[in-house]
Amino acid sequence: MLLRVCGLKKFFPFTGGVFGKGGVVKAVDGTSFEIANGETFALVGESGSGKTTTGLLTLGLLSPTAGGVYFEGDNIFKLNASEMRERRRRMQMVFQDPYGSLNPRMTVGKMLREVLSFHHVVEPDFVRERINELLKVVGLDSSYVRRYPHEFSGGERQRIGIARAISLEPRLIVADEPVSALDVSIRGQILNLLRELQEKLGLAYLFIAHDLAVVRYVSRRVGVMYLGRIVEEADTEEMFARPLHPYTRALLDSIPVPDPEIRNKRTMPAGEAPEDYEECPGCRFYSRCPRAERKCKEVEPELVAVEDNHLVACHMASN
Amino acid sequence: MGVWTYFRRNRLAIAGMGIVLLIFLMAAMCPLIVRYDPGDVRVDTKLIGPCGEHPLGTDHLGRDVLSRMLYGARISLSVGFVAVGISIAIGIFVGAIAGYYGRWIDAALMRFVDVMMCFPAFFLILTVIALLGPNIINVMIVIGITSWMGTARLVRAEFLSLKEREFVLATRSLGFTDRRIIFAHILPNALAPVIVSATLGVAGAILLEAGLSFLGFGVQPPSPSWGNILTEGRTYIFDAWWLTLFPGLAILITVLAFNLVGEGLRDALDPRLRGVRG
Repeated sequence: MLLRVCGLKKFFPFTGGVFGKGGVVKAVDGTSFEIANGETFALVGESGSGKTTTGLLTLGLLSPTAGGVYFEGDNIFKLNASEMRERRRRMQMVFQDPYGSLNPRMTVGKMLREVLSFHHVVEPDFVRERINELLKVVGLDSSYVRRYPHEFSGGERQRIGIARAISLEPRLIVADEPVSALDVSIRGQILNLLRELQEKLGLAYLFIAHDLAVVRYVSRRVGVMYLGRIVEEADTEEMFARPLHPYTRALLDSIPVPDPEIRNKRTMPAGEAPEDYEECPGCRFYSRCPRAERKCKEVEPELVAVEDNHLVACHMASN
Repeated sequence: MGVWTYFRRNRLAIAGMGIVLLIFLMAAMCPLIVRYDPGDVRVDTKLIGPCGEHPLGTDHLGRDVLSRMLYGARISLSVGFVAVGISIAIGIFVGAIAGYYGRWIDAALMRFVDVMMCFPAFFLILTVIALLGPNIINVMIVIGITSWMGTARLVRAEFLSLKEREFVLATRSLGFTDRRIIFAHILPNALAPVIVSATLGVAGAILLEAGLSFLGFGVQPPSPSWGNILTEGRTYIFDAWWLTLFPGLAILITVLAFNLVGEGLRDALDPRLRGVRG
């Protein structure tokens, strides 16, 4: 396994002001998954489900409250600074916001040059050549090296971000909603680019999205997150064909169908994820679940395999 | 977008910049402009009013006031720039460290800033100069280390907001060292308000040096500086008005010009800061 994430937890403490009481936000609350070499694992969920936090933890950009991230066999939180720096070359990130993720005061060439020479990826004489090569790989013209980020469109910037990520020749890329900030017309191009690079370079992706339709296109395996925990995990096609968790079903039903004749049956109950779910001991989806029973309120369901490669955390799933 | 375009529209700022450049040129080329050495004592021509031979008159030792003023400009400008250079360097360093690392480092450094700001700077400087002896190097250093607090706060505020931006997270994911992230990535994006405060700081430093020299704690005679020309002329204020008027005007105009440039830059670089005192 290239990456193994085990029981990852991240709680953010907050203070309640002068009169309120403080507490913790359980952004990630016991997440586990694995990614093999060259494979894509997708995490989906609505905003606030902890998927971005999971991505940052996976790269060691946040330190966890509990749990471990094993990259190439080593727990990255046990590494010292220089070992971690070495590891960084093999795990990179593509960001959601192509407008915010590039330094506005640096030209594209300078940006890539800095990465290449800081990590001594290639000999100094070959840096220029490598930059041109990288730009070509992501579909940009090599004359762009002198330009600043604000001179590019969103899609082009995302390509620059991808070029920067692959410049270190990583094994794993965490792509945090890489297309959700882009025009719909551009999304396909970027997704294709990511797929191409995967084939060419043998990359593994942790692909974070809130859109199941996008996930279906890029990922063979998918985990659905709800309030900091994976509630269902299966191969993508299996998930689409036979969703077992009521939350997954609700997500699938919310994908727009391009046919006005088909009435979208909305199974998603009104409201948002509760903020005080920690108060009750049961299932975190209890308050919104159409199938909830007494047991669901009292006992938290574990993520268990109901079939081969299909895991779900729901008491009702097996019936 | 178009800092220069915006700056150019501000006529006062352009006038200020013209004056600053003019003063620079005159200070740089003073040996070509004046006919007399600033230290040239001629008792036979003492206290002559402005005339063709001495456009700004002569002082009580018969020295040419124009010549002394121009050489004094060199000193005033050097003090202004070196002192501000020191203060900006300290301010950037303290502000960047406090803003980037946050938590107790930030709290400790900012309380130190608060403490420094509590001292009445001018009297602190007087004390230090009295202890270390008045010479131009000491003046520069002391002005520098008593005026960095504003810059530190500005830089810290910029860092607090910039460090949350995704491109900073990106540099961390690339494995760069903190030093590289702070100085190569965040700092260039935080420089606009620093440039403004530096320009305004030059004006403040020139004024401070003039004040110190006036009290005899700054540049020591016979070296000319606007402050000590003023203080030497004070005795003759009723007989030789030119000895006090011209250095006074020079200080006024220079400080005003730097302030105009600084405020113009502030408006041009950052519309958010418009109308805020530096």
